[in-house]
Amino acid sequence: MPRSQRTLAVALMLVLAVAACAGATTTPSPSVPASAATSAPNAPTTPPASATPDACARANLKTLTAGRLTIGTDNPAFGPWFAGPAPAKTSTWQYADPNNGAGLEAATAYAIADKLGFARADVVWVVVPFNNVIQPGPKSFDLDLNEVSWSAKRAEQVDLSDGYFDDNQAVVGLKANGIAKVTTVSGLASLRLGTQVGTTSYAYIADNIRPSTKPSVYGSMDAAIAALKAKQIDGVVADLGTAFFMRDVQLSDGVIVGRLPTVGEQERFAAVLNLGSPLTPCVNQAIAALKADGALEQIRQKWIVSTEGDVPELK
Amino acid sequence: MTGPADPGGVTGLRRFRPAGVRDRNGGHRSTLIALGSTVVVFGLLLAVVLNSPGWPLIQKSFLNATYLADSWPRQLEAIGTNVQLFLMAEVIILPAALLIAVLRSLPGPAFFPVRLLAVLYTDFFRGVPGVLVIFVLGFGMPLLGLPGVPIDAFFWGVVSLVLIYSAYVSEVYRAGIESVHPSQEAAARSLGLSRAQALRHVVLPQAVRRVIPPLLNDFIGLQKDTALVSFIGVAEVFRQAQIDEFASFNFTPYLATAALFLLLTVPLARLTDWLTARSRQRQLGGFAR
Repeated sequence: MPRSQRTLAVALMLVLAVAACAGATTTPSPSVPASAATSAPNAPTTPPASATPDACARANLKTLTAGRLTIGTDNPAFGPWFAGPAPAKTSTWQYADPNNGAGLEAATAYAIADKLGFARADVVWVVVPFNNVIQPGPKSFDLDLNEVSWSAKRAEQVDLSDGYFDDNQAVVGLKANGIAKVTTVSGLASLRLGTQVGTTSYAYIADNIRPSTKPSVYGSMDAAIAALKAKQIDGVVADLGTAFFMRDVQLSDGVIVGRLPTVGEQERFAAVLNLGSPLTPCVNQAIAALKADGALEQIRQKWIVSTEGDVPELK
Repeated sequence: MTGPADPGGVTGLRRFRPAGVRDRNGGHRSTLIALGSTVVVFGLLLAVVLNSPGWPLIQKSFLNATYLADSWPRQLEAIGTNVQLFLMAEVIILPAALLIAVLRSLPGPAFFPVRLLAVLYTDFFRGVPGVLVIFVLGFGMPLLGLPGVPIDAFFWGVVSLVLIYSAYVSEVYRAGIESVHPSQEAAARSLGLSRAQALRHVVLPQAVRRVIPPLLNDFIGLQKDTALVSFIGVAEVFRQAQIDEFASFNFTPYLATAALFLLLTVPLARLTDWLTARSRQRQLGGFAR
């Protein structure tokens, strides 16, 4: 009776699958498997970091490579986050080399490293594409500074430090187009807007501008700029720092239409760490200290305000 | 086939066994063996996966019901764009590729430039990565600023897919045309049919029937490659999944996308299998096995 036997076989496999799923839900989850993976084999054999202040002493910090602080960011690293002279043609880095410490994020990274007790020479920069920063599992960096905005949902997947820079969204357009004359947020709603996938800029368009035309979403801000040039969209929404870069470097006839008002929580850039990383409280401590002694504000004045000028806020 | 047991031992689960034909002796046992081995193999696979140290992490990141429910309606809406893209493209591709294949098969020295163009076209669009074609046409053509040239990204997405896939599909047609024995055309010509008539009524019907499975291959490839059009900002399902993934840092939305693509392609594959089997049976006059 092949037919009934086949039915039997299918039924049995279903039972098997259901049993497997049931088994899966009752499988005890190992306690934070990801954090265990961050300790490199050659890490010093110190006791696990506890809640005592001593845990953030340099000798107790369990970094990827012992004695070094590995910091990630995407390549090209660009201003005003990373600045300085153009790197040599042979360099890994395209527009700016983080190793020279110029630019808001490079300066912040070295300031954090300093507070953690790492000398400049102990800081190692690695290229981490923006998309890889958020992937679950072990990371190739101790912390990553890549203009990642803090969000509660993101904080479930990776550790996000306290904010080191308060950011606003901004709109970039072409001088010749009607968008250049817009002064209100509601004035943007009838226009075609575009941005990069996965950015808070997209969330801002969808939640706050709510344009009548579905926003165009691109794989990169570069593609959004290409679409702007092709007149497929009227404006690109990006954070202010990126907007400066678009206006100054990517477009010859670009204009920042304005800053977008903050809605709800202040947007801020956070350093990304592995989920449950013992380093996170120490990085937060360092950022708090940098805020208290005014170092962060100095960095902002130097790398944003004095170099990029002011932009009006849209009503 | 009615007598001895099949030594292969899998007859119990064999797919194409005609109704009413079964093994008298081996059927029962081989079914049990097939069943047993399936249970063991799949059981082992599941055990390995479920007991791997990262399984809870995988479950949380890739198999999360909350995120699935959240993303599903938006994806269902977005896949409509993909369906539009591949249906519009395929409607143009099928005849355009056939035309290119026929042009390439034209005999005689006078048609050399035509054949050369057809060869250059297929070489170029098969050889260049599809994403590049989409980028260049999608962002480049509107930059020309020529009156009458559309700037719409969706339009250029369809055009790119047509150009890329017509190159592939024309080669499939050409293989079909060349598989028809020359004696077929010779016979048709001897009956007084012109070259065009022979092509139309004798060669092409046989050629096209033979290449239906590879044509379906390319159609499925086209369906999946509609995701590439997201590069120029068209709101299709893969981009929607990405938007949802980035909003939550959870990868479950991609699973929903995979399921949607399977829902599109698997029934189509089964339908084509069935059509092919039926046409073969008809050709062989009911003696098909």
